[in-house]
Amino acid sequence: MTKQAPAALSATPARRHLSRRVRLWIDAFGMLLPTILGVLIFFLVPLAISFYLSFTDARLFGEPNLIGFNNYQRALSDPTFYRAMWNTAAFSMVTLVVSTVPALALAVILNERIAGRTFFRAVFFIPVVASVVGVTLLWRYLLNIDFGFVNYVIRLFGFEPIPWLTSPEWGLISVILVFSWKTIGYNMVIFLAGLQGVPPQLYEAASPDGASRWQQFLFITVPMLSPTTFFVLVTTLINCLQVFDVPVALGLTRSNTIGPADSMLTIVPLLWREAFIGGRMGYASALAWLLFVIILLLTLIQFRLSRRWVHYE
Amino acid sequence: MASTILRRPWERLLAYIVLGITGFVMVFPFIYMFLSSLKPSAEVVQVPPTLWPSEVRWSNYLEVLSIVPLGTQLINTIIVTVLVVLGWVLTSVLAGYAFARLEFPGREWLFGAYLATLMVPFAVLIVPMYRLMLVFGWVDRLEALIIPWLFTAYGTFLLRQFFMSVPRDLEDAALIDGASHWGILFRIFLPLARPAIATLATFAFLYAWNSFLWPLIIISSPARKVVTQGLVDLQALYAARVDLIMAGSTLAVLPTLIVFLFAQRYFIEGIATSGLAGR
Repeated sequence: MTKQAPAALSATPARRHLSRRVRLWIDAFGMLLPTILGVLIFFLVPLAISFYLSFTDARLFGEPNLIGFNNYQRALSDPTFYRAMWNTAAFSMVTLVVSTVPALALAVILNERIAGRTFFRAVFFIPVVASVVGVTLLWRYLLNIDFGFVNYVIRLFGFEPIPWLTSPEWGLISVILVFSWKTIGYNMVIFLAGLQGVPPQLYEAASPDGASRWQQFLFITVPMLSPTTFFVLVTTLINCLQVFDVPVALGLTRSNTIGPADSMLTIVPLLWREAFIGGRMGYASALAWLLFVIILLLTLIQFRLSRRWVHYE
Repeated sequence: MASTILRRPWERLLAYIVLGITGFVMVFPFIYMFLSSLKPSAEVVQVPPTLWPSEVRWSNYLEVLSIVPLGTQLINTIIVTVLVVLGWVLTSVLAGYAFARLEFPGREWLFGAYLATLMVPFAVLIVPMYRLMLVFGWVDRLEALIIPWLFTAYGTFLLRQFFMSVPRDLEDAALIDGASHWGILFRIFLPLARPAIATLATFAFLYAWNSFLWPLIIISSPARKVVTQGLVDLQALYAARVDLIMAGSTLAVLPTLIVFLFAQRYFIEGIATSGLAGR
């Protein structure tokens, strides 16, 4: 490579070099072709159609007509939309705590040298891999007001049974519990990977200086773990905003409400109901873009904040 | 790794109590689900509940397969899952290699744009995808559950990261011998990438097996539905037969648990890797 080619031969390697480069481009194009076609047909085209539809009165069938910002205005004056927004916000905020704090605590324990680490890690991970719809129907049974196991235990302790799935006050709490039960193991594994990335020398340096274990945790572990924490919070929040399976499998009723009095109704179930039960596809597209904008804004804000409080190595 | 938090014996005891209670909460529902699926239908709704079935009724499983075509739906789910897993692996290997190893103009830009697609919520795509399926004539057909879902930005990212870590010397030697990039990919890189492919395959399996929203929209014939839809139908039509619903849920959950048992390492590595992407 570094040696000069003899002058007489220099034309040929240059041409060979060019043809090799062209061949490389052709190879690259061939390898990327399935992905490019997929993204084009099943992502970019639908994305553009969705944006267009959000400004139309599209129904299940028939030609859509442009109606300007009507769908967006309608959403902003629709009490059901606000109800779904409020439910989504409340669900996300509580789940953000309930599915991450226990996950961090469990990860800290499992990061210790104790017997049965891999066993417990696997056990906590089982709900993550199990079919969402399957386990949600299971919880529908466990949380039943009359014969559910959870209320049986509550009665054993002498309390009144809780109408988890039958009262509007408890509906969203049940969604939070089932969703968090399923997510804790996932977040725990990410925290565990983050904890194992903290260099042990840091602790060794701190111990002789008389740093207490709490001080070590607060001033070494927490800052070193902040990129992981940040990642867990952002992904959990984005998943929460898009929750669909749990509220629908837990709360769908014959009259197509999600939970009693729509108490489990979040944004994506509302969008699904508007589009595929109500047939209002234009309106549903506008709801989708409102959700998209919210997710984009939150992502941007989170990244801006991360610069301030996330410690990168 | 260093033990820094738990030093005293009572702290360790407390840790085990926390682990034990949490483990119980995570696993007991599954045990209860399985045991309930074997009980007579009156026993699952009795108060106080029983743990062990008074008589073991395997026939519940036969009954659930006959009242909802759950057997056919399981086969549909298997077909869809196998093809989606193969598609994810193939497209990710090809694209991951091109992004990691072939220097073509606009590569970084294209890869960044592909990753950015992950930010778009799936909800944005469901309405236009439904209309696209109408145009293609794929509404209520398994094609709709397979063909649009054969590619993945996550998998491409995973394989690209892996391929970037392979030393250059390997392919330089092969290039000098006149091997093509396709040859290098399939003969040198593919065998090396087995662990990354296993991780990706387990993720694709989970994703395809558990998918619910898209099938709910696009498939309406009972004989073409997937197992998650079958379960929801079962709940809607036979809400009183909890024994059958538990048998159906067991059938839906069991394959993922079996796969997890054998591929645990890959699941956990895959998640840890996606977590490191946040760094």
